[in-house]
Amino acid sequence: MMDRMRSSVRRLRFGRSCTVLALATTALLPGAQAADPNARTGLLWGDLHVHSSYSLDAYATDNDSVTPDLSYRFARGIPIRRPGLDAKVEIRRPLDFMAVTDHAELIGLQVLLDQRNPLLLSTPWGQKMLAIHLDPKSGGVMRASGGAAGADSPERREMLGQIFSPALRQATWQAEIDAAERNNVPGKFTTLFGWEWSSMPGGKNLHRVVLTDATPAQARQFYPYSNFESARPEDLWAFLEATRRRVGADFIAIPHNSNISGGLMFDMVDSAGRPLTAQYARMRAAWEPLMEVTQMKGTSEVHPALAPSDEFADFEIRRKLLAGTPTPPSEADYARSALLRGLEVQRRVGVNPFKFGMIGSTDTHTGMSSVQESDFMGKLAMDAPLSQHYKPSRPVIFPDWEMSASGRAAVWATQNSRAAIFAALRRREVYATTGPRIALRVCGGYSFEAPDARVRDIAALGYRKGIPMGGDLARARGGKAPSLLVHAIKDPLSGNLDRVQVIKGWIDAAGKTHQRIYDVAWSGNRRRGANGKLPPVGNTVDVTTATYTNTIGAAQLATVWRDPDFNPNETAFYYIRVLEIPTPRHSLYDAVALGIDYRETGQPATIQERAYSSPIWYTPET
Amino acid sequence: MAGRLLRDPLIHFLAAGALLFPIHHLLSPSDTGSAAPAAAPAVEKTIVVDRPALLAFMQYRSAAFQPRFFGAQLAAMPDRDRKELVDSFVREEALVREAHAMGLDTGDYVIRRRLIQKMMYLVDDAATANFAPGDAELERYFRAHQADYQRPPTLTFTHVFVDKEAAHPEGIQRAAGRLKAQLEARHARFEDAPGYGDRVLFLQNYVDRTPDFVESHFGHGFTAALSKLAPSDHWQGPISSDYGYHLVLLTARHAASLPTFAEVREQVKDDLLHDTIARYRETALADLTRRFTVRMKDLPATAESPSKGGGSSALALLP
Repeated sequence: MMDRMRSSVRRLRFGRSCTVLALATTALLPGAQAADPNARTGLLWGDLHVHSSYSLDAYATDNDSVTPDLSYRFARGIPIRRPGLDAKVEIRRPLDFMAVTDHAELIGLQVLLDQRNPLLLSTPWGQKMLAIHLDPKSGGVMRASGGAAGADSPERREMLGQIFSPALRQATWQAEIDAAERNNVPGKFTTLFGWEWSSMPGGKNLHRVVLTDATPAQARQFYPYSNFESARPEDLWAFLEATRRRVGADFIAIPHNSNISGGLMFDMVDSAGRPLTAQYARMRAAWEPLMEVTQMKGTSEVHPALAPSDEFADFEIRRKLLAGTPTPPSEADYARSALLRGLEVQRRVGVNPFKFGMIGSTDTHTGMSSVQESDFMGKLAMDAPLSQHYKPSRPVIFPDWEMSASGRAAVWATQNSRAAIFAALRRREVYATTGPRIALRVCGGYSFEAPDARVRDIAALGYRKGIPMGGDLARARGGKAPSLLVHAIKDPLSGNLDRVQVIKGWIDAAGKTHQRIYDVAWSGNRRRGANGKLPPVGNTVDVTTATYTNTIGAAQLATVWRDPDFNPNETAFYYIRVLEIPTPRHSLYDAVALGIDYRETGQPATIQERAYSSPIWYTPET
Repeated sequence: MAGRLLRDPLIHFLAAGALLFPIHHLLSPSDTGSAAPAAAPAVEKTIVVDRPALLAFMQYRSAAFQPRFFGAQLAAMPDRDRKELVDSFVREEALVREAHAMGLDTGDYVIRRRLIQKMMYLVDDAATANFAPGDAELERYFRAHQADYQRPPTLTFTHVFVDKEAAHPEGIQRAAGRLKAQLEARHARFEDAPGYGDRVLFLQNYVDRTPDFVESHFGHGFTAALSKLAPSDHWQGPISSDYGYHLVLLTARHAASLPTFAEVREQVKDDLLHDTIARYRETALADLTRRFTVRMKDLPATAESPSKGGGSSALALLP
């Protein structure tokens, strides 16, 4: 029976055949690509931003069945039932780690109502919500409750006291902890405890995913801090600080969708509008060592208006705030400009508040982490079936074709365990991809030589002669220029590699910031043109069949690059961008399946998937 | 007066509606088979415009559900904008009511699908109301569906890689042959593999990996060739992949196995729930349709001799 259902799901997106895709054919796959025993660290793949049916908005958009437990099980490779379809689905490649990060605000309300939770139903507001929940014409409890950002009023405070009481919050948090514990398989699949703090003043997204390394016993001593306590990031950090002192567990807060923060995420002032201070910068750097640079609601690396000479900047850009209002590009909204702003603030107050590494994750609200263009399950459960993408039966907040089938968090960890993964996140030895499992090693140092790129064990040499991504370089004797040892390997199930780029940002003596992009390794025999740019790699995508071939591009690219424009007195950062050859975007697969012209999707036919490393910073001694 | 009437869009609309209404009924199948238009249901003539209605309208219109944001927007709205908002709300409401009265929702397949979806939610809720299986029941289900819980077979091997993108002056196949001779002559063991050949692309060692996992790295051809080999102390191959040639030391192969009930209890419970819902849906839908009289009318006769290929032409169109 299960086999029959699985095969029917595979057929759902017929037309999505692709020469290099291999289908999993058995029910149970081992959960992990274990750490390579030959290296000090091994590469683990995961998703640190997944919403289950316990998120108010996930349930309200038809995810009424994928609980935290099922969400983890799906990521482990166990088939689960897909909401909205009479069919089971399984992940193509199981993940190595995952965090269910439900919205803290009114967490689990509909599930508690489904369970007829006595604690909830003992209150008048609980009864009122049950009546609304059971009335198919009511529009649901998310609307009735005002959601994560309802306006404060005495009536609302009374309501929250009953349907979002400490006892209920403790109970739902306990359910999240239990689900994570049940699915944690040492060495194979790691679960992390986490939640999302959903601040959005004026509809501008300031959301943070919060993760902790707490033991279950420690985690029981607090419950998720919500936007109802405070919409100010400073207050969230104060909560994390106080809770760390009280229970002895560490936390990190990961901002996401800076691209739709309306100029707030990496603002040069604090929540009260005052210029950033050293104290603010220290707090922020301490609690926010990472940002989520790519996910379903767009990629936040850079906006074309902020980097006009970067021909790859116009990539999966979202130009609308959460409420659907258009948002102009701001330096406060994108990673590259934020990294530059960090150098400016550091120059003024002595501390860099925006010293972050980069990861990708999905922010899926289906409970099913899905990033494959050829097999994208959408952001919302209501995106099933396929016809919903073309002519939705009701208003859609995030139309499927506007969403990105992105992203993944790659972690270089010493083993697949909660402690090892959390440590790697803390030291920023992590990176982002827009979905594909592109392996990327980056080490910075002063003694790398060209032949180092050809050694067999690049990792051993990289650690011996340098420091990995996410780390810091200080001034070398004689002001020598640093070099980067970079090794990128394609995803065996995705496109070949086009090129490796170094993106450098720095601040000069006058306090002005600069950025420059260097092509440092590429496939084939291409030469830079008169404009200094490397020609495009080409395109093998057939838009009528949504297929491509790996006849262009390279399986791996490795190089040693020394900064040719180095000034030992200027603070700088370097991060790596790896591009794949063009492959079909998920909307093209849909167009082929629906028999329509892909231009009707309003999206480009192809996509150059990519990886972004965490930066390495160079700081002259102060 | 007559001139004004002719320019009035409402009058135009109602006139068009007067034409459309009987046509719509002529085209719609009806119980009686009679083409006479039924009396239109009365339309509620009062449209209440209040804050909740406007807020809901604004949110659906923007396809964004942010009551606080829209509440603030509504509060700060200049009179002219508010009048525009109210006008569009009233028009939408009037159009919807008129459409309902004219029965325009009845022939719309998108609306039908949505109604069916809502009904199925109710059915599923009822199906799971008393779902609390004990261990004995779960274990019975597990025994009856063992094939669903099989764990896949696994392979253990290491490999020495000859990269087609690297330089091999003697030719890649000859290089692979020379390496194999070297590995055999030196009695190279599993742990010696990293000392030979080109830099591996993905993993060096594949320990207890499923054929699916191996296939996701090296493709179907490689995995098929590998699964024909027997475990051995000797280096085998070369086997080719998209990336070059591989000499493999295959040391173990484990057949598919069955987990214990305790290991998969939660999964079994979920599967039983799924089956329970599916069964309940069958019963509920059968009960529901029994409450209706189904009259077959003017159906084409069933084909006496099905086509040789088997299956109707309609089925052949399905993917």
